[in-house]
Amino acid sequence: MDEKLASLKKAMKNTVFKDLQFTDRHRRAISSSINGGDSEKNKILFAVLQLVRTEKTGMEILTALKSQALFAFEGKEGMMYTFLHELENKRWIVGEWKAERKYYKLTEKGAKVLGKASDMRKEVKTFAQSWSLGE
Amino acid sequence: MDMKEAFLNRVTAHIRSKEAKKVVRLELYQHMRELSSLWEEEGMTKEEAEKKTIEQMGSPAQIGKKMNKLHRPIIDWFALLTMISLIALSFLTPILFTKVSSSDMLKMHSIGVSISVCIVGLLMFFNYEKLKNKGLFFYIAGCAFLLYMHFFGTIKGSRTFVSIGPVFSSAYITFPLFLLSWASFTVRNRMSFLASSFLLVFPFFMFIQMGYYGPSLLYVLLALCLTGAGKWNRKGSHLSIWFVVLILSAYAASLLRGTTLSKVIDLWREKPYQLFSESFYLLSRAGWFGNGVLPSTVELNTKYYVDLIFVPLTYMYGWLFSLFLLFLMSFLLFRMYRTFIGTREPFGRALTLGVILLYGVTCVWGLLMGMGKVPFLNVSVPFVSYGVISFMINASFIGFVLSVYRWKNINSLKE
Repeated sequence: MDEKLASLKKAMKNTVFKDLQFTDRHRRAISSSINGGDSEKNKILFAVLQLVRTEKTGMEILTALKSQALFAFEGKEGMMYTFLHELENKRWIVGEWKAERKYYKLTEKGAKVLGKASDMRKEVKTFAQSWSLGE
Repeated sequence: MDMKEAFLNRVTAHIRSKEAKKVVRLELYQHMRELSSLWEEEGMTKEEAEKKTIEQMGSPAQIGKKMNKLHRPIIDWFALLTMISLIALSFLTPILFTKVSSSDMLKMHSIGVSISVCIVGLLMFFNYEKLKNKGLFFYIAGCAFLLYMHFFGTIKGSRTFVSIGPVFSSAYITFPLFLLSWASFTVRNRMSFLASSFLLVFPFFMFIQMGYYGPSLLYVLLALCLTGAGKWNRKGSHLSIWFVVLILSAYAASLLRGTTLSKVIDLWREKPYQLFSESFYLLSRAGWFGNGVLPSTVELNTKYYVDLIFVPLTYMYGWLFSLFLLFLMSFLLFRMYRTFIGTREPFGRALTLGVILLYGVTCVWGLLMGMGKVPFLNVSVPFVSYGVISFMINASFIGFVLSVYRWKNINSLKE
């Protein structure tokens, strides 16, 4: 049985995965999906809401996310716009067209959501601090 | 073909809404243009840069499908199901009264409900936003109808009615028109203070003239709320002064007409007193599960199946049933509120706010009237009171709100 499986693995390597190169992008995509859909999505939500406190275009948001080491939209930048539109439907952010460009901004409702999220973040932070002090 | 264009075509192929196609395309195009110019600055050729850009964008099908999901017409199932339950329960009223009146109430009600269902369906699938700039047309249509009623209507009791086919309609039938017109006025350019006051006054006096005291106040309330919530925020205070002026002038007008106002007060104080004591008697004997039939001593008249409908319904089917009915009515109101806060497009917001006001006030007033707490103003309880035309009017209100909900994620794109 073990022998059979081993030969299957070998066969796969030579056929199906022959042209596949494991790049940095794959590594990131896998780690982001392992590190957990929901919390990752929350992190991005929080970051995006934080960013659009001042008006920003999609491109500006994306660049800022990258600088915060959030690569969820790496290689699928178009999907970021679906994310933004989803937030817009929820009326947490609002988009406005100015000279052929769409600018996103936080709404009052979004500020409330952000408020809750930042409360939680504070709690996490104070918890982490007290823990390290006790050590 | 340009590689960017090809990519965008593949994205928009999955999007059904025309507006969404246009907006998504432009937004993605701008992003891609910026990206490829960045790569070109890094020293890539134009072609390489474009290729790299498209690679970075991700799967066009995935983007398109998701965008389509976000910007497609949707149905407020909660509101629709509540509405269907209310329609089903509304048959209890004519069933209740066929036992005592030989008329074909049930048949009329069935016809009315069928037409109402068509109205709701049509309004829901129709994008309400196309009516945005037709305010003056609806206003003139409403006024013309009121004038027609005034000259060609039939006076029954203290009010003027107009016959439409086999049924008589009250002046409340103009409310969908006035609702649309005021919602439209509030989102369009600023109108002068004088013009808006004139628009307020004419239908108001027509209502008074024909004996509709309740609807005349409701009309002013509607106009004030919509203008107050709309672009005329600062003028809201001015308008509320006009409100007082109007009430005083209405009082003067009714004095000129003789004793109409005192008649209204008498109606509240004396005439229905007997009716109220009877209805208190009925309500106190209703119990949780009802009594099945009305006592033979109760003489059923129109008051019972229109204005006081909750009294015989509660007596026959019990408080449990009435509370369930109340729950459905308030849940529908709650869904309308959700639509209101979830909508960005201003005309849709104004329309929803107007419906919340009209539906809410008539529900609450109708219920309180049944308990003798408020003056008798010939208000029917939406969907519960018997009345083919009023059923259709309320159905059209719900139709407007369902349409606002349905198109909210598409109409918001145009902003």
